[in-house]
Amino acid sequence: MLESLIYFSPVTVLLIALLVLMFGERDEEDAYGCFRFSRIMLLLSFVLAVIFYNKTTVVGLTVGNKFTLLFDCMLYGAAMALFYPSRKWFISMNLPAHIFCGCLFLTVLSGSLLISSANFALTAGCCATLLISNYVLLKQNIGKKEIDFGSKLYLFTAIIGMILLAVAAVIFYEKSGSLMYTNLRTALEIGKNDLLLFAAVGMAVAVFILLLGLAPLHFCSTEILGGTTLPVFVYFLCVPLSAVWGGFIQLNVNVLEPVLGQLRLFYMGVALLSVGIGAIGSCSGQNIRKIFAYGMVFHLGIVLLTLRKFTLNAVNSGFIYLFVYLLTMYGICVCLFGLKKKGEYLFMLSEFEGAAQKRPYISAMLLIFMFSLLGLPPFLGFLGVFSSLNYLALHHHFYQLIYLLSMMTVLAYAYLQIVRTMYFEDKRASFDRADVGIYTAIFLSMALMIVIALQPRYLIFGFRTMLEALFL
Amino acid sequence: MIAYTVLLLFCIGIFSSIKVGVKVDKVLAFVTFASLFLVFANFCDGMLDAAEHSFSFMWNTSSGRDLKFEIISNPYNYALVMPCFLITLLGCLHSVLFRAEERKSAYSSLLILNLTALIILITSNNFVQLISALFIVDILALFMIKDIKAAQPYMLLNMVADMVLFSVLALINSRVDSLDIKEILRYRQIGFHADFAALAGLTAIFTKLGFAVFQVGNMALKDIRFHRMQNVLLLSSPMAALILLLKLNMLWRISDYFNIYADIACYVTLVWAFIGSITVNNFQAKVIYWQTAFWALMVELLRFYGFAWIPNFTYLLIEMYVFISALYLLYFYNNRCRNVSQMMRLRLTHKKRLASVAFVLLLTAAAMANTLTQMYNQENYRCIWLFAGLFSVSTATVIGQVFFYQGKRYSGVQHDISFKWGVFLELIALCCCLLYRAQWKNPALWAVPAVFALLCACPLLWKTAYFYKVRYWQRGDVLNRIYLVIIKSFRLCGRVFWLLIDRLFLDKVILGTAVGASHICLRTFRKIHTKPLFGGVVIVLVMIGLLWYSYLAGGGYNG
Amino acid sequence: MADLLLLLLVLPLLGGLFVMTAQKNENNAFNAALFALASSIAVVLRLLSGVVHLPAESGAEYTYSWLHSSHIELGFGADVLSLILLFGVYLSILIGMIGLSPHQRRSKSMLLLILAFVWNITGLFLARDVLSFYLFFAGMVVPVFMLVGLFGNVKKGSTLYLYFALNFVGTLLFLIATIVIYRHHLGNIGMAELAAAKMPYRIALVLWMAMSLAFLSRLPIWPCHYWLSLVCTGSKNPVVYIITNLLPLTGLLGFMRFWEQTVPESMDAFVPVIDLIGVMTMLFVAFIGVSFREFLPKLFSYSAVYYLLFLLAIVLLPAEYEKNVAYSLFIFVIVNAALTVLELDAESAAEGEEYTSRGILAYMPKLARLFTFFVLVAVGLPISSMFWNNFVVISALFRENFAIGIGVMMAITLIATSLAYELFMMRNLPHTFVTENEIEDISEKKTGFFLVLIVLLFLSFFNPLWFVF
Repeated sequence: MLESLIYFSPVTVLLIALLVLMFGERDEEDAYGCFRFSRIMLLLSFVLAVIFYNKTTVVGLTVGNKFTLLFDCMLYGAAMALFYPSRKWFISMNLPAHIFCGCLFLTVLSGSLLISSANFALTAGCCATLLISNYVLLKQNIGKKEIDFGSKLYLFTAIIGMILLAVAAVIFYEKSGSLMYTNLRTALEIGKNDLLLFAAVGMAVAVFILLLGLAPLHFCSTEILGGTTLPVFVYFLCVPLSAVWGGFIQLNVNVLEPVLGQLRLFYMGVALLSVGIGAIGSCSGQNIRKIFAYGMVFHLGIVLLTLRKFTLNAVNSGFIYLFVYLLTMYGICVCLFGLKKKGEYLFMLSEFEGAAQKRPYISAMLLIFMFSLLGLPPFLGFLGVFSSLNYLALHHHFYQLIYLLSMMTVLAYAYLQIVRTMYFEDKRASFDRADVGIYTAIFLSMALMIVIALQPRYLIFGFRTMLEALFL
Repeated sequence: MIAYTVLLLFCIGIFSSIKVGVKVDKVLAFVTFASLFLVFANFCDGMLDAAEHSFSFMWNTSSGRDLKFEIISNPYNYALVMPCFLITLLGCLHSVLFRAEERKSAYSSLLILNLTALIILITSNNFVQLISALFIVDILALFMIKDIKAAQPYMLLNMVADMVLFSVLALINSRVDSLDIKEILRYRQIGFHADFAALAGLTAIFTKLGFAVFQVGNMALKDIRFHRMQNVLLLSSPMAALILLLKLNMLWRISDYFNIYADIACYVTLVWAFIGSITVNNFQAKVIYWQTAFWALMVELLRFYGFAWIPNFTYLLIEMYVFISALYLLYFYNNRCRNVSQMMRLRLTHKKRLASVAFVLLLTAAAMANTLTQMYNQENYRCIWLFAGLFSVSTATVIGQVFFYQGKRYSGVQHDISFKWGVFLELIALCCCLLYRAQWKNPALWAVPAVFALLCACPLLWKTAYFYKVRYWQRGDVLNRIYLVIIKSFRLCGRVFWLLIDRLFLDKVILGTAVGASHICLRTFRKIHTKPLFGGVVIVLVMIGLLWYSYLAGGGYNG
Repeated sequence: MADLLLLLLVLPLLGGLFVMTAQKNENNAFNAALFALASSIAVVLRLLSGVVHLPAESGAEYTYSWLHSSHIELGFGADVLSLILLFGVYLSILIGMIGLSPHQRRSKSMLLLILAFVWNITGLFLARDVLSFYLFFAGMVVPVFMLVGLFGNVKKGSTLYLYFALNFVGTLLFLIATIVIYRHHLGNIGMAELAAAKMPYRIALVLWMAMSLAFLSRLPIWPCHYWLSLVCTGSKNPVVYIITNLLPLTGLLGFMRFWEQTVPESMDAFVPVIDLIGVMTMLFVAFIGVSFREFLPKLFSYSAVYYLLFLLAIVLLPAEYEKNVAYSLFIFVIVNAALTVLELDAESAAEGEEYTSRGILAYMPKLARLFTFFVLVAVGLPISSMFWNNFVVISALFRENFAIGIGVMMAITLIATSLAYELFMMRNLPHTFVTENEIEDISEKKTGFFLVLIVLLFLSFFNPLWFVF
């Protein structure tokens, strides 16, 4: 029992932190203290999670292996990385941060459980929690009409998602008598052509698609992200993704493997749609956050396109792309934290005019990160693109390859708009001085990118051994 | 050895190009002339003892092909170099005798370097050396002309001709896989586009000689200094073209059309030059027409003599040089008047000087008549008669107008012009040398100067001065205008291509369509995204459709 | 030798570091960049002297184990061809930098981008395998785009985007080719081995089509010439013009490297199409060149015609002619750069006057002489090794196809005449061009620099590698 409690300690720490943030005595204006507490608790939880990565508390409910460790690390890393610039934001805006931090803890908690879940009930619960957490964060943008409407839409979709999960769970339980992954897999092997079972699978997958913000369920997230606060925007772009992808991969490899043949075309359709909508969507607006939000849809579409067979090679290629994307996107987000005018963080493209003259280093970094996302060498993004495209070529998907590359050209237009505004528009606008911490964060992410670009073997071969754990 | 001469000439050329003060320049020009004279003497000495020598070094190597720079000394090359050398020497002498140049030594240096290039052209044995020397002669012509406006058409036309020759030689090389000129024989056997090569090459040569239709380049020289024009006409590109005509004669003979083409080109040129020289008012333009007619005669005679260079050709060239020098004196004594109509008003002022010129001209006519009668035979008589007739009439007309025809009183400033004893004696001496070998019983020797004198005194011919007042004739050669139209049409073509293909087709049609399509895409996209109800329906339909299709395609329904 | 190769790759990066950390002084950063470039030239010359004396097949080699896997190793090597071209590229960029105005020299970002381009082009020329080639081929897109966008004076944003899109699509196509190779050979492969590799017809077709299109996207072949011309001719910055004009060289290099031995069998049917479009574009661009009244568009047309000539030579002729093409290209890029700088000098001198640069050379005798020399070299007169090498190349083209030979010569004649015509117009003082201001001639330092270049070019007429000891 004691042993189980110890193994459960990472989750316990997160729960305690969450409860303290929600119900504890707090100073509304002490964002700094709130973040300090959250950081310590998150770090503690992370250390414990790493130490007990292969220990399970309740057999059959969760699993622990190198695969879960890898995605846990990414989740915790993203959360911690988000804390750093967000603290600056909350302090500068003089706003309370306990709800934000609380939601972040909720996301990490549900995310880590989702990654290691071995039971559909837990998976459904985690997904529901994630949806709630996302909704609460979106709801934080008080006073903006479109956000209000957007959050309501998100809530509506989230409720439908939860209903779908519940219906799927009921059907699964009906068909297999248990919600454990192993039992579900057996049921799917037997009822391969059972339409009802397949519908349940579809419902579950749809919720994941909603959580990942892939097309055609990108509506609820991408459109409202343009108006959210910067920390929330960064949260959506970086934090829940690793958890959801981890859980999604786990679900597909361990449960849906028998019906993957029937799902493959669906995944392909979703992926191609995401790639297309992401590319076109990013060109359609003047809101820089919306551009990156649609960019996310595009990039995650590529990840799904690569992953769709869920073999070890596919997972490896998809993971490389995802990792590079997260790293680069984080860099971009930090750059956005560094560019503000009169204390206001920037939304519209036109506000970035002349940024290169006033903030040359941040602009240069933003430029590098964007070109990296386009997969241009010598930036790290090339490695991700190369890995994904190589996988597609390996399986003779030449048409998809060409489609993808053409969409990449369309996406390039959107990114070039940003470059053009920053560099080629000669406007003498004034920008606020950026915090040293922002420069440090940019420098660190850049250094990490350079190191990985020079020695990519850890990314390509090192992580592969960890991902193999999923297939053992 | 000619190589030795080339080296000396190159050194003198470089030496005399040194920039010095005005006084030193005169000395330097004289020293240059003296040195050139010594080299000439040495050259003549070598010519008497003309054994076959070859000087060569490896110039470049590429694609397994060695390119040698060769200077071959043999009697033929010596004979061919001789007129060029002599005319260059005379040119340098005139540079010393006349105050026509600010920097006499530099001008002499140009002439000497040009001679060096001509010798390299004459002695070359491979295509690359041949074409290189030709290009160098053309570049030096640019400096000899010194007038940008005049150099423009001359250089451009010559450049086009050089490019055509370049193409022809490249084509031959591509077939015979050798740079040796003698390999043209093998090309004759292979015969790959032989007619094209021969006729294109010949056209390029005619262009450089300034034949009818291609005379625009040479005609532009009418506005530069007389002595420069004279040297360019006799020593530069046209002379190089004549040498090329000789060196590549095997190529021309490949084509069956060669004879007829050459005939037509030469006769048309003769007639054209005749008309031009009679009607045009500009004195230098007249000289250019006469020179062009002379080149036409040379080409025809060379063809009839099987492209063998006999001494009479050398004499003809020198006679032509003397003739133009005499005209230069006429021009000089006439206050450097550009137009004949102005010269007509000056005739009373410098009677003695003009008489000296008339004397030289008569001697030249005699010398020329002597050479032509020596070359006269059953094959070429038509050509010689035509040339002699037209040339005599046109020159006599102009000279008669200058000497006898009364124009309006000249109102401009008349300079006191000194008698050029040096040049006069030089020309007399040259004429005497040329006539020294004459057979005195030859009736043409006496008849031609007599007829020439009579024609000069024929008032009917003077009346052609009427054309000088007709603005249409004086506006320039009609072909000049045609060339301008051609250039304009080229430009227009370029502009139309640019507008039609680049701007209209690429920019407006292709890109416009792409931009339009992308706008439609974006509009549809926005429409879906701004109407949640419509969007929601679409989403649900898409999702279900995709899932259903995937299920079916995965074998779900049948399985 | 391997150390020198590594040094050559590192020098631009080191230069960039120095530029970045240079103090805000008028010339510090510029001198650092200039020094980096000059030292790169010294290293290239040292390498050349080493490589020239080696047997034809061997050369300097350096391998960087990128992934510590036998599948991906980045190989670098140097042979005479790559080094001579690299020397030409360095020299032309150096010429461009010399041509920068004091105000332009102060821009650190420009110097950094120039060095980034230099680094990429160095890597490209030294690359010995497909992946390394791709890395540098695609890598130069960003610096070139930024240079054009920041300093290239391109007025229309859409032009800039299309220019980027063109290059970007090219790199993506090459990426497809690289991936196909990677997939087929389960790893990276040397460029020389690729030509001999046996592949199924469809795979080979995809591979070579993608590769050819990628390289063609860099060349001023129809329709790509349009955007290239829009970007090039608007530029008033010599380095930007020179660098954008050097970009087609990368496409040529691609053809040189990958079609080294012979035209791939799968592309046999398409080669005539390339030839046809190439020749047609040459004529078309030459005609357009004639129609322009400014020198810079004419110069662009000229360079487009010559690039296409070299393309035809590489595609049509056997590998033994590559050296001729390389020697010719070496002179060509230098002359192009020199003419750009001199023309922009003349243009800036004419600035403020009421008329165009026509007639300006009449006021600038020193510049006029230099200009005349370079134009004469450009039009192919026997003053440099370009003349003889062009003769060999054109002769071989005639051997391959008479019609192509004629087309090529027509285009060359047209553009050469057009260039020479413009030279005369610039030297000829029109009556309308009257200036009361004293026009400053080219400086003594610049004149000296260009005289050294003239010596370099003239001596190459006798031996293209005379500077290698």
